[in-house]
Amino acid sequence: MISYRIFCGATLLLLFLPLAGGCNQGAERTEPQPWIALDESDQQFEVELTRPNSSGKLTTSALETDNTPVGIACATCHGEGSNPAFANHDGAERNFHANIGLTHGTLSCGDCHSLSSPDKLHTSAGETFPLAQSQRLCSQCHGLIRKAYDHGAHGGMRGHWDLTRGPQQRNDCISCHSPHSPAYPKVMPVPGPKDRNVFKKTHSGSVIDMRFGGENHE
Amino acid sequence: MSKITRRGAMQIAGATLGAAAFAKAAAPLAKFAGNLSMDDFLQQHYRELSDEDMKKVLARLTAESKSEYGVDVNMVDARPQKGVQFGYALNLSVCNGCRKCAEACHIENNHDRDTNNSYIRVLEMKKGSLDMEHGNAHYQHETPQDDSYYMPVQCQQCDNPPCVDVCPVKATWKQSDGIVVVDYNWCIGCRYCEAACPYHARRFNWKKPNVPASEINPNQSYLSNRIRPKGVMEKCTFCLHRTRVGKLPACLEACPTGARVFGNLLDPKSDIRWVLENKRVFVLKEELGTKPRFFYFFDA
Repeated sequence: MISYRIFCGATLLLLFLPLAGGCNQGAERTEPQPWIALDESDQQFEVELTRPNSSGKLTTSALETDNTPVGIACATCHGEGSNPAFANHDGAERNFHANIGLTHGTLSCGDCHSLSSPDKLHTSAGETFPLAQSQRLCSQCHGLIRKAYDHGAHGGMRGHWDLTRGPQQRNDCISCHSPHSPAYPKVMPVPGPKDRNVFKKTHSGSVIDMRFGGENHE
Repeated sequence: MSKITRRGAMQIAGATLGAAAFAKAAAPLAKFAGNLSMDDFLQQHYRELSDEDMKKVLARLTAESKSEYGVDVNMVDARPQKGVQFGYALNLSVCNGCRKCAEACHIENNHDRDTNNSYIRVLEMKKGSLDMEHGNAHYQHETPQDDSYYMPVQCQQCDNPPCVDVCPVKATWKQSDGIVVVDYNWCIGCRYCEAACPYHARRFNWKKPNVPASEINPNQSYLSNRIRPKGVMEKCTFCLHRTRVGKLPACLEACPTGARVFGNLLDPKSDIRWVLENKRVFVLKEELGTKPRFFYFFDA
C-alpha cells in the first residue's frame, strides 16, 4: 500500500515538475539557425537616396489648368543677355524670391547658385553641377556631419540594415534641412506612454506626480 | 448498524468544512483557467518545443488571434542568424525629443492603446547631467528646449542581464544574437525582472491589451510582437521579427533626425562598428557591470 507521505510527495512533484523542469529535458533546439538560408553569393542591394522633387523652376501663386502652381524657369529672367545678378530690378520681379528668407549663416545667393547658368549650382572652386546633386555643396562646409551621414549616424533611413537581404532608403540633406534656412525646426512631441506609477489619482481626485517622491501636486 | 457517535459527527462536520474551504480556495483557479485552453496549459518551454510542436503552437496562436481580435496574422518564430550580433547606438547630439520612436514602437509591437504603452521612454535631461534617474519622461512642450538634451531609453540587451538572473522559472533568456527574449506562455508574471532591470525597460501587462483589429500589425513573431496575454512581462526585442530578416527596427525607421544606428557588431564594415570605432560612446550605468549592447554618443 502506498503510504500517505509518498502519495503526497509524488503529487507535489507532479504538480511542480513542469515549473521546475526548466530547460533540462527534451531535445533542445540547436541555436542559432538561419531564419532564411543565407545567400552565399553576397548579393548587395542599393542604398537609394530619396530627395524632394524639384522641377528646377520657381513656383508662383498662379495655377495651371491641372491646379499645379505655374513654374517659371530660371532662364526666363536670368537668361542670356539679362543682368546676371538681376540687381537693377525692383518691384514685382524681386518679390519672386521674397519668400525664400535666406538664414544660412552669412551665405548669399551666389555662393551656391551659379549666376552665369542659374539652373545649376557651383562649388567654391567654380565647378558647376545640376540642382539634384546639391549634397555636394553641403559637404564643403559640413564635412564632419557628412562623414557621420556616410556611416548612418546622421539623417533618417528606412529599409534594411543587411544589404544582402534588401535595399535601404536614405534621406538627402535637403529632405530635412531647407538649404535656405537649414536649422531644424522645434517640434511638438507626440504624447508619451501613460505610466501608472508616475501620476497617481488620490481619492479626492487630485493627481500626485510621483516622480519627485510625491511632493509636487499638480 | 452503527450509531452516530459524537466523534463521528465531528469528523463529518470537519470533513465538510474542509471540503468547503478547499472549494472556496480553489475557486480563483477555476476562474483563472477559464480563458486558458488545455493546450496552452500543457505547452512546454520555448526551448523544449520541437519544430513540429512549434508549428502547432503557431497555428493555435494564429487561431486565437482570429477569435479574440478578429485578425488574420502571419505568426512566425524568427530565429537568430549565424554570424550576427546586434548592437544599437544613439546620437544624443541630434535626437530632438520628438518621441516618434516611442510611437513607432507602440504601433509595431501591438501595444495596448489605452495606456499608449511603448518599450521606449524618452528622457528630457538637463545639459551637464548624465544621470538617467533625473530625466523627465513626461515633458509635453516644444522640443528641443535650449537647456536640455533628449535620451531615449529602451532595453539595453545587456550581455550580463540582471533580469534573466532573477527569473524564477527561466521564462526570459538571452539568445545567441544578443537579444533578451520572454516566452510569454511561460512567464508567471512575478515582475522580479521588472524590479531587477536598472533601466526600467520591462513592462507588465496589467490587462488584456486593447488593440482595434484595423490597427493590429499582422507580421508577428512568437518571441516579440504577438499580442501578449494579460499578466505577463514584455520588453523591447530590437524588433527581432524585423531585424532577423535583415530589416531595420521600427524605432530607427521612425527617427526623423537619424539619431539611431543599428547593425551587426561582427561586420567590420557596418555602421554600428564605425560608430564604436570613431565616436566616444558610453553606456548607461556602466558601474553595474550589466554590459549593455546599447551605446550613446555625442557628435565631435
